[in-house]
Amino acid sequence: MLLLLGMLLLTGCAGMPRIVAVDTARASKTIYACENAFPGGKWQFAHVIEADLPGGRDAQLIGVTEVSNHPKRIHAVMMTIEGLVLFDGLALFDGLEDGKLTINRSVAPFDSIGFARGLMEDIRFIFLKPDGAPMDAGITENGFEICRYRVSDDAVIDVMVRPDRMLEIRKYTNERLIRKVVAELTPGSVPEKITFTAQEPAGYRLNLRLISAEQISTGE
Amino acid sequence: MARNGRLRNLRSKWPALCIVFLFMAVPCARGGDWDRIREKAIDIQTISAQFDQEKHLEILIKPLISKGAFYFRSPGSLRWEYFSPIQSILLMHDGRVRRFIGSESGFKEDAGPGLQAMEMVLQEITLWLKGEFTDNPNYHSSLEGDNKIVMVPRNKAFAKIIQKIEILLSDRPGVIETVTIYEGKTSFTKIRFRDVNINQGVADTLFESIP
Repeated sequence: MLLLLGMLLLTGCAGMPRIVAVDTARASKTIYACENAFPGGKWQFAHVIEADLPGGRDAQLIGVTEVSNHPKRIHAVMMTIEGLVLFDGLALFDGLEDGKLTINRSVAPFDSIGFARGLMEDIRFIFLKPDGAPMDAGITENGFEICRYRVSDDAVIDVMVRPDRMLEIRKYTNERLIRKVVAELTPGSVPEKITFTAQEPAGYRLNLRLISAEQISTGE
Repeated sequence: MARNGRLRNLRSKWPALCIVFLFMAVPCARGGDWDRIREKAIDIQTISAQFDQEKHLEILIKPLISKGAFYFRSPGSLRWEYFSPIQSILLMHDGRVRRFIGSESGFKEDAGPGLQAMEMVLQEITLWLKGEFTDNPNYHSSLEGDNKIVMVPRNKAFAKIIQKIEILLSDRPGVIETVTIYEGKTSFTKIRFRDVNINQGVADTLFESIP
């Protein structure tokens, strides 16, 4: 019985939430809330990253991330506590150069293309608003404001603003939850803490604690 | 594969290497006479100091600052501790190396694969503390001017990760002012030491327990 209940709960958590239709004015307000949940313009962040990795391994790293919305671009550096740079890479997600990846430096075990692509996709998921307009917007049965974006033929991203001012972002592939972000919304600023969970193919969890955030003028 | 193994090994040794360079500098400091330096190194029984670490990267608008302290007692007890932005403690005592990472729920022992490599490095540290550092085939060390030691890795795989290390000595005998580790032209880590105490005693408990 408990097993059955557990399975039902698990299914309930992992499945895509149903969106309850709202009127146009409410939908517009919801879309505004969703889009403002992401940092606008160009920012540079430094985070302490606590990683719970597959196999029960833990790791502590420092991450420096520069994210830009126009053009969509990510520059990411990962280093040890002692300052040794393990990874330095640049990714573009705009126009003809969409998906272009440049690795400036990589040290094992961060020296595979697969790692670099996965890292950039995760950073994009955390910090950049999904492309295009939402395919749907409204509220969930829990009362969360929600915007749903189709990001590929089989993938959907839900951006949810909860009544407790927490931001929740979920990515589904074929309606299965594969990525999740939870962060506290801080109006006019950036979240102090972000929790990122990857469900598949290998589960891992990252807790990001903000060290510094600098907005960079777009004239640079 | 072998290259990856070497790089992985070096990465895991990084914290210990930083410490090694620190102590290597002490015997290197006084004028290039290695025998005399070896004799001076034997006199050092304990060291303690605070440090500020600056990480400079081309991408960074401002350097990242870390703060910490270290304690050493001859022949091989060491505590290298960061207070911020991450709390972490590396302990070397009685031939055993342990690492602890701080979190909201307290310190947690990190039993990652890098610890085994650090144990090996500890043996090297012990040798260097006796002034037997010139036998290390991995680095070419030279003295520039009166107070700057420059160390360059001989191994090409190592040199891809660390280009060189510069150690600036203080006017005070046996004291280091800064250690700068260059990973590239615009990427380097500078550690500034302050409140350095030599042979003033360090409590056993610092090497045996946390925090």
